[in-house]
Amino acid sequence: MPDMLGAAVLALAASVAIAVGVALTLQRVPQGLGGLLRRVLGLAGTVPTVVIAAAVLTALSASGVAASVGANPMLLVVVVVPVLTMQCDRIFHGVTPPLRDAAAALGAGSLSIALTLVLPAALPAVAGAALASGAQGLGALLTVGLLQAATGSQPDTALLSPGGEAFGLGPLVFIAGTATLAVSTLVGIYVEDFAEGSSWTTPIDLVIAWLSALPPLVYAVLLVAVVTATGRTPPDASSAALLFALLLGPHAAMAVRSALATVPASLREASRALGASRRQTLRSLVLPAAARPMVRYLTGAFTRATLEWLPFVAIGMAVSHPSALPSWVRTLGVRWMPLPGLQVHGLATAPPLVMPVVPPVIWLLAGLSLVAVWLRPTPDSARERRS
Amino acid sequence: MLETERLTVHVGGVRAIDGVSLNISAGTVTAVIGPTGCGKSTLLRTINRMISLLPSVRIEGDVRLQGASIFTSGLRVTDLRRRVGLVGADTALLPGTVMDNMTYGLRVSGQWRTERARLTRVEEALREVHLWDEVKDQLDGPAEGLTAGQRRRLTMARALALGPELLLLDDPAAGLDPVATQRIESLIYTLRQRLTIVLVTNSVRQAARVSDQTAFLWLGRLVECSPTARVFTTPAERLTEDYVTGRCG
Repeated sequence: MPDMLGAAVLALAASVAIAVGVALTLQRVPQGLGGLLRRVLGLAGTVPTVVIAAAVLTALSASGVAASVGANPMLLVVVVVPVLTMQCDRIFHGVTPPLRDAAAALGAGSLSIALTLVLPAALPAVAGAALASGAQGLGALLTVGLLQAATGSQPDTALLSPGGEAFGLGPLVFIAGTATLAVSTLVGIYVEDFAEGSSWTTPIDLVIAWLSALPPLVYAVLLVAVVTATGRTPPDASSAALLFALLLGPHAAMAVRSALATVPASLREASRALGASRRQTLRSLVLPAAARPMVRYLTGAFTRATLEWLPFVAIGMAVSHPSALPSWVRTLGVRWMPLPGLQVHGLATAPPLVMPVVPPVIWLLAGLSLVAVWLRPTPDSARERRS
Repeated sequence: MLETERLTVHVGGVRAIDGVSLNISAGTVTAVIGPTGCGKSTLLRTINRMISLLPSVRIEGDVRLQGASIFTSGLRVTDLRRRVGLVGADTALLPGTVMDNMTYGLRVSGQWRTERARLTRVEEALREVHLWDEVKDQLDGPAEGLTAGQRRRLTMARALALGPELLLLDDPAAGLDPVATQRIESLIYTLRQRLTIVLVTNSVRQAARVSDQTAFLWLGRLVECSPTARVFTTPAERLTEDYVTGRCG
């Protein structure tokens, strides 16, 4: 364990160095090329770390390389760098143009602006992003590790099987997802547009941000612990649906907030000055203006939550009742690997549970991610300049 | 028409306005002058209670409009804001067309329910700010296509369409060229015939040109409020004289 921890810290430090270096370089590349690179990074950064982890482990296992964080810290680097680079680029871009202009007017070159102005101003945010990405990356690697264990050694069913008895999972997930989206939307709207000045604003803010930054593995393990503690062993389909809701909720609330935040405060103020109430402003001005980014961000949140959730369902299914797979798989319209051949062991066969085994869902979600990234405004877009 | 009585406003723990007592008569233009940060805009935003949109605001004293306190619990703040229009240099255009901007306040107010009534009101307001002839053929065009001066007048027309009794103008000519500034000033001169106007301006000369009385604020305190001619010729306070003559501030 200490070896693994040390390796993880080293890997995280290397990831930060690489991500910061790439992001700072991006600040200096010409607009057109920079925009293209940002779109590529945006696409990579939207893919949940668990999917990247599964892909990396697949590739490594196929080539016979030791594939655990302790044995090969580069695993964490590969998983964390895309996400962290995208976040660093956004953070650096958030350092306001007037500051850069002022420095440039004083004769500073782009490199010295990046090193002496942008980096120090963004340091706390970069540190936060690095920690969050590191946690997410580790969580993802552990999740895939659990998936390997589930297919290879039949571990404790109670610990690993949310979704084990998964009959009727599709409808339950639909209900949980819809309810979660509704609640998250309301929470997001309340925090962004109604809670100003309330003493609850900051705690709610913190909790939402924290929940959305938690690695999915944490939710899964806690959920299984709670479910088994209440005597329902193994966790069933409702547990899997609840896990989906837990994963989706914080992301969705953050998505709604982000979308509402794209509407400039000056618009809200203009509306209120014309005698509109807070609700009227929300209904007739803010929501229409935020609708497009809201759909975009919610699509991203939904995609991310689903991709984070699938491995846990796969673990549960693989561990508990492989023969029970068809019922919920059919409900979701997902193909599973040949069921009689599920008695597989070893690393090489684990990742197919996550990726190629469910191609329709994976491709659909990958497509949705692509659309979400494509639609997302670039930092230098006219909309943001107006904001 | 409007009275403030020992009005004190704390914003985020800072005393932005300190015991200001003002009396503004109907049908006059009152200019509020003073250096940046002296509380001019805070005073305006308190009069139509836009200040309460900010967190951590504490207000002491009173503001009375037509003899009634604007802080009375029974008073709907949305009604107050229709009666007391606020237009500033940084007032944003709403997304959409010129017509969308003009009808927004009318729609949310629930008055002028029919399309015909709304159109009539829109035309009246646009004529009032001398913008009708310039935009009548592009009412369905994007408002962002207008020039800076036209935008400023559009925001004024938008507020006027609601039929306010009092119009608060927060440096309405800021950033405009001399021609557009002159249009705004002549508009203020025209509007004074049927409206009470409070004008915050950073231009002492503009205050001298368009206002009937001038209030001078310094560090949140009201130094002097007198007829404009007196403020600019025989001010009661030395500080006022220094400010209007450019020796300080």
